Amino acid sequence: MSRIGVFVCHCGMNIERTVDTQAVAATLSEHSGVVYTTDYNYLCADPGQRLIKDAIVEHKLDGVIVAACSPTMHEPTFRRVAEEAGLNPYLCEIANIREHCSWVHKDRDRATQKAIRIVKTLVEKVRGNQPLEPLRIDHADKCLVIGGGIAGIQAALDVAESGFEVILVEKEPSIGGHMAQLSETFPTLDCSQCILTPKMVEVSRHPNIRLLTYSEVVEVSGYIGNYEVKIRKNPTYVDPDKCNLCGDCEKVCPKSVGSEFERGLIDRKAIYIPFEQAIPSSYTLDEEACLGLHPLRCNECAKVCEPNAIDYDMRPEYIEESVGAIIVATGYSLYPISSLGEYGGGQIPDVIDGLQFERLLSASGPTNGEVRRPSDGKIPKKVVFIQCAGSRDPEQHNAYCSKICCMYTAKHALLYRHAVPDGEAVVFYIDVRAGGKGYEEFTQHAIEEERILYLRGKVSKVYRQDDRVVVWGVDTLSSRRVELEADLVVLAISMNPHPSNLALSKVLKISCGAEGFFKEAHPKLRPVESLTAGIFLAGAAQGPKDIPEVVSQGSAAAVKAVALLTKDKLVHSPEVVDIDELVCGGCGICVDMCPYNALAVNGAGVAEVNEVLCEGCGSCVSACPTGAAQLKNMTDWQFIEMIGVALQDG
Amino acid sequence: MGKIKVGIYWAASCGGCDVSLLEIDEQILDVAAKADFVFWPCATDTKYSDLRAYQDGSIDVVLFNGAIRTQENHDLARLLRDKAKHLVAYGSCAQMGGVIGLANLSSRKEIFTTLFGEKSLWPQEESNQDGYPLHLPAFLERVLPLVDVVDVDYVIPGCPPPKEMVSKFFEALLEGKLPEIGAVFAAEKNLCDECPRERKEERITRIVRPHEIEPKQDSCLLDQGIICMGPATRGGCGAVCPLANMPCTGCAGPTANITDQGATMLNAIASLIGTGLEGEEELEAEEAILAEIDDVIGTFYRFSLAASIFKGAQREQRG
Repeated sequence: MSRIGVFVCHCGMNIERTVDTQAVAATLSEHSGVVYTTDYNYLCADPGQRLIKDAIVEHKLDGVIVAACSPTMHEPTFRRVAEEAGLNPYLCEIANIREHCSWVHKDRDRATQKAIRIVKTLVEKVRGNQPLEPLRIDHADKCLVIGGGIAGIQAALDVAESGFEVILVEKEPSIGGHMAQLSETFPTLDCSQCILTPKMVEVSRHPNIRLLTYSEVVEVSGYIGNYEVKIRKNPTYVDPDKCNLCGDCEKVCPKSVGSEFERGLIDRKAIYIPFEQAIPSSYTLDEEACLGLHPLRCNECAKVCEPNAIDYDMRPEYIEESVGAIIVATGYSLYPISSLGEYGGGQIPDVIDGLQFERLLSASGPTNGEVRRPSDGKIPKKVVFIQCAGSRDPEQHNAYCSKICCMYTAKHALLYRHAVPDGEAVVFYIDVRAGGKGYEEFTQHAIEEERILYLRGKVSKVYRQDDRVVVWGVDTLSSRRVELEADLVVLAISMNPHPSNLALSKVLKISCGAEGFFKEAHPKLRPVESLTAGIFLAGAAQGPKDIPEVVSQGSAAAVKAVALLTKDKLVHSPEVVDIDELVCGGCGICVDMCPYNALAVNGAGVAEVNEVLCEGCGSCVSACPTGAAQLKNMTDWQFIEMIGVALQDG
Repeated sequence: MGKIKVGIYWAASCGGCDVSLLEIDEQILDVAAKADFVFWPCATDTKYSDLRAYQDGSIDVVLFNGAIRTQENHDLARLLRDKAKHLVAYGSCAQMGGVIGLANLSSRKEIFTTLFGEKSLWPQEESNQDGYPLHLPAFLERVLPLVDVVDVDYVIPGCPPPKEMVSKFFEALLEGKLPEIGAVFAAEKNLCDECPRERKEERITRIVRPHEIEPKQDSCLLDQGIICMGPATRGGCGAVCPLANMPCTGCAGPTANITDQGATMLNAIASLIGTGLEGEEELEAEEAILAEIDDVIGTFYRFSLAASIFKGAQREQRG
């Protein structure tokens, strides 16, 4: 490169305040290979872009440095500008003199000197750059959705409606997730099942959706647009096509275990259907619980099954699919109630979690919607609701706020008062977080119209006395100790990440935050994308959320997936590693280093790179002991020149 | 046409390079038939004045072994560069400073203090012995590879250069088919390319010295925890050391793409160690593994210290 242009941006006062941009431009004009320099107020604005374009054409520039903000901000902008002016975009580089210079320094002279050095290093880099063409790759046109809760359902339906095939994988025997367990939803008190089940049915009927329940994703390889996934469909031992839901098997089954759907409030049989509206509508034989699959043989269910739907020899089935995009919607679990020993969690039968209370409120629940406490079936006349149970407690439990508990506790108390009009509801809260459309009005309505007693303070202890539950707490507004005798205590238990997240994060190679929820690419601007291209996040898998948020995320993730699947070809950066075949001796050290499995030693004893998999991280380059591995447009020789000019005297 | 004129010179070296010339066995007869050794202090009696008398560029090829340690080495390098049509850096010392270059870990002052004790006993450049003036060549502050003093046309690496490479050079010379300037008479690829040991691409979980284990015959020494410089070293020798159950020590120098052989191999080792633990625990485990490396400079920079980016200890000059 011998005709390089340097454009120095003021960024308003962001850069100009501490860096003398005119001096930077003037000094650089003396630098070898630089034929044009200028400074400008906002290069990213339209006139600024035009200025660069015109200069490229007028001065026949063969390399461009834009000295401005971080390349993560405007590299695409300025590379596009270069391309529009007929210059290969990879001959345009960004010198970061804002984040790396003006924002972190005060001394204008020295900051200006530093900015000059930064720009010079980029000039040296551009001198070594080669024009590159982006890689264009074919992709699969299916989408994998992991998780069949409301987030996954919404995402699957939206992708399917856009005309792409969806594989929806659900771990449990039925889709529906936690939303299927809820009684009514805040703030409108819609019946949860009534609004959910039509969507579940739509999933099962949609020609573009392949539903795989009782299934898990066990292997994922490949890259954006071309993921190879392996799914294990666990045996249900019941042929769903033959099962007519008569329920005879369930009646004769001798083995009972706690029902997961009813959160242990009642038992289910070893052969069961999670709930009546389950999709797919078929029985499942739980092999853990079943006696018949064990040596002590019992075949009661098979004996009575008229359509011969039961097959004890069913084996796990492995399904392999190529998909272009993956949406992770694994939802959440509840913080284990037994971890809340101070509240009698797991020890006192009448201390229950919020989802158990949902089941007690639900018309389809074990009590047909009558609120009856677990210990003796009595209708509780006084119920204490404890918010932030396991949340907002960094010393002992989860540090984060579970976000939905304030609202569902208000709903619980309100529905309880509807169900037991002479009952008394008391809520312990730290503060009420009711941000959301209609949410504040809803809680105010509950507090005032339903005469629910809200006590601001934490509960220190819950214990059993005879058949009552005693709650020790404090009312911080009146600064008084409170001791209440209740018939039932409902803990608004913290939302936990789904236990499968960690294993799944390894399978998918996406990261989880410290608390175990999946990490989004950017908390503000890329909330439904993971850091791995082509893998999207939706719903509570990423953090605590309520239903409207989860549904929005499901749709948002679907749009991201569809945007990808709609493309004719996917574009991949050509700034990837290049192996010098004449030098590489095939030691394979790079192969171990690659986090993307992009490298392998081929039959000729030379490392070979799958460019599409390569993200250009450079791990292999630093490990390569021969120098055969070099990043395109970021070679060792470029670095040496850049370091040389950065350390130059004067 | 007359015979090919060959000169051989040893600067700071052990003498092994001179001997290695004889390893080409009967090929030596072809060399003797077609070439004259016009200057070879180790074998023939030639004076510097004879050498100076040659016209510039009149000696067809000079094989220069040894590093530049003294002013005499330095002057002879200049002189031979002038007289030679082709100057060859012969052996690791001429190419990279070699083992001699490890002296760069100490300053001239430290070396003299160790050798001679107090300053009054240090050898003087100019002195008078029994009425006659005695001139000794100056001892330079640091060891330099030949390539840092003069332009070099070819490199025959190795400590000493193995028979195959020497033989290949003489073959080309005698047939008048010397390659393009800059050629290295070794492989372009690293040693792993010709090493028959198989690497399983495993993480290094412990580091041992060769005498501590009996290495498995067919598997990569690195996989077994022995630091083998092969990955960061040019092939061409036929992997003779790994074949004899000894790790490569890097005498042939790095491949063409590398500026610092030791740093490059350190990078590779740092990348390769790992135990599979997570977070802090892994960092501690990795540090413990690295702590097992005995003599880091001697392992990674045995031959290339003087040619490395930092060239040696900087104490004296900074102080």
